[in-house]
Amino acid sequence: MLLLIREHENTYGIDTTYICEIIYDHLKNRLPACPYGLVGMCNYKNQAIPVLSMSELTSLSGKAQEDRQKENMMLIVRVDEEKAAIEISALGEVVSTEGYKKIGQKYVVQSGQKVKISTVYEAEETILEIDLKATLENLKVR
Amino acid sequence: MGFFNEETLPMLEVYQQEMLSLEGELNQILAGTEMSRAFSIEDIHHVFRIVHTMKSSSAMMGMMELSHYAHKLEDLFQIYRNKEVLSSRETELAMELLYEFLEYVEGELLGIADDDFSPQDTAVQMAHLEEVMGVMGEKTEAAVELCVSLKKSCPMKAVRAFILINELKKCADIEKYTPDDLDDDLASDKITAEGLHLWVGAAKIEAVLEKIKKDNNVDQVQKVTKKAEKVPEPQKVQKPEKHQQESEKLGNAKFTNIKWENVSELSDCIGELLVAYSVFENERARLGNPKGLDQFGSAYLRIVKNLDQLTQSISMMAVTQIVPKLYRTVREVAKSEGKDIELHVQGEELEIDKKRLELLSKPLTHVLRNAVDHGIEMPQERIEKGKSPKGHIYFNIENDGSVLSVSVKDDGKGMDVNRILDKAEKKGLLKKQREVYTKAEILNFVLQPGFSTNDTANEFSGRGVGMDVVRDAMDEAGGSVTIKSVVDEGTTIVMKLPVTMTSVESIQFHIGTFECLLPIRQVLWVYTDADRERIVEKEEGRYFEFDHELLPVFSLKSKFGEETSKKERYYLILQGLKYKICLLTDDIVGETIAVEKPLPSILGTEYSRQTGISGLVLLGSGEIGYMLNADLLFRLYRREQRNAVTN
Repeated sequence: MLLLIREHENTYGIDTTYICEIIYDHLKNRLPACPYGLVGMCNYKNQAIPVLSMSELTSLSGKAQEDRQKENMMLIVRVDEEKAAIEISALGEVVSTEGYKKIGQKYVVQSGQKVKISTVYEAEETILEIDLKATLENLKVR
Repeated sequence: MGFFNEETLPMLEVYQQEMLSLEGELNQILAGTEMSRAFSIEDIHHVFRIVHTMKSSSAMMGMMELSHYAHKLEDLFQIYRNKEVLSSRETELAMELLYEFLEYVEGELLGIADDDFSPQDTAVQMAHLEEVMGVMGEKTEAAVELCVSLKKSCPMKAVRAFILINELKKCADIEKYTPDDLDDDLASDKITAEGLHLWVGAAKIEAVLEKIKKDNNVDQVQKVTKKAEKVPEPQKVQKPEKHQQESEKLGNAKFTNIKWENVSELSDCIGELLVAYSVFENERARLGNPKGLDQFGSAYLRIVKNLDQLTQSISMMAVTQIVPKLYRTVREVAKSEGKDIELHVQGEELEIDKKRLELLSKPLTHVLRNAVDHGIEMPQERIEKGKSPKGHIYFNIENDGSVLSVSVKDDGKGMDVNRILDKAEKKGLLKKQREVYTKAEILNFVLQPGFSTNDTANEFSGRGVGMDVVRDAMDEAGGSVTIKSVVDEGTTIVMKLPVTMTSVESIQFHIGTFECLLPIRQVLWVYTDADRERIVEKEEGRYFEFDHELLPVFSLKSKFGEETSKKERYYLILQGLKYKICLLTDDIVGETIAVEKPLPSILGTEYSRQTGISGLVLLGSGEIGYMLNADLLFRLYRREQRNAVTN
């Protein structure tokens, strides 16, 4: 099952097994020397977790600022043992990928995009399934 | 389903715990034996019981390789039980076999919970064990005592004896020799007066005699018939008092098994109780400190602090847990290199946090391996330098309450700074003129990843292999590593890291709009704008005069992406593990008890290096605070200075 999120004229899907909760208007703290791809930290149930922005992850460099202001929801996701929050502006539907045709395992990410895609599905619209683990790995400060 | 079936799978956790506990007991015995160089009869019985239990439990779990392996060891220790006393050679062999067995058990336990677990083959270990047991059979023959007189003109008799014994060991088992400590200053005198006595296996006696006679330094050699029936050395061993007390303590104490995850969760709960206290304090202040609430607050805090201390005491592990691994590392590398090295351990009775101990284990292995492999010279080279042929490594661990200090010192060849500098220059690591590098700066190059390569085998080669692992581990723990080295005298590596604590008494302040904290133990003094006369402007930067020292003044504002037009008004004098630094802040909020949480892995160690932030703190207001660390800040300052020079 994928939760669909539409950003920058693309439809992205996040495997629902990663999602712990969806929260609204949650307080976010700025992060000193905030690395690109991260937009801050938040106190989620007494845990300090990093906050990512969907529009920033999927945008080409420098185009996300405006869209970020519309983001008032957070998807709390758990990858392995760590949690993270992803800010989004609107929720799409939850779909089953059963019967969808996989048209590629690897999606060529455009320059500047931080998101990593695991599978591309062909349905009424093309769905790009986000590889959350690889995306978080890609954001690691090195 | 993996290796375990529905009958054995439910027992896996209990089996793991039991094996870990038995492994710990075996490690304890080996640590004691390393000190006394002998197994007491109690040890022999204890080892027998341990391997017997391991054999039965493993068979029950279907781990037949391990069970057969333990069974074979049990057979060997049954022989030792009957003998009651072991010769030094037998002790050495028994230790070697037990280390090998422990390594196998550790390997099995590491992978046992994996879905694709499958027991490792034991053919090599079993063959070794059988070989030793075969030798044991030969050992029932009488050993022959030889008395070797060295020529009067032979200088340094103890050193010559050492070389001769090493030569003889190539063709026969030398079970014992006297004087047994050839490092002793009086050893040469004893050889002159009483001769060098050797106990040699009867089977190879002729070959040994021939070899001795060919040695130019030998005057004569003769069999000592009256003492030849039996090797006289073995005596019932009394363990050092300290070891005995430890054993008694272990025997008398009442222990129970606790899952580490539960201790960790308990520690997290205490952290949450402390965060709740911060929220309470915030609310109390907001309500104008109503009467009665302060008493409740202090009682609550007292209980939580007690809980915190208790939990910390549960998390403590004795350093002895890792000592056998250290001995094993030294023993294995020394053996493969043909070196004779003694490891001296001090502070092993200390108890430190389990996480710290685990963190130290890997870097220590690297440091020791390097010391044996590249620090200590070959016996012949040491003799030529006028040193004792036996090398020495000193491992020391201390805890002063807030800082854990671990040092490894060797009496080897030391590091040649010129060669390190050449290598650094070749690798393009120099950021300034080579003449201005201090010795400490040069030695620090070996902490760079991959600094040393295998293409050179000289006095510093190999020191860099894995040394970045040491630096990374210390960075992760907010600690530091220092190298001191003198050519032909040896090298000392000191690792310092803060002791872990659930809660930290901290000072809270702002840098721009960011809520920041520092452990109070790192803050020596707080100055305000009124003390501006202490500022010293120099060409290379600003300094703050504190206690007759000029400390670099460091601002984080621009680094944190904050507005820099408004100047900071406070000067915090910070004391790190090695250096002091003056940090600028916008204000001081006050003191608080902070529970430091680790940074998420997405930020990691590199973020700490770039910002000076070691962790996160949940504040009473619900906001997130950033815990800074004096050592990270000093390193960040140094990094910026270096970059400024380069640019």
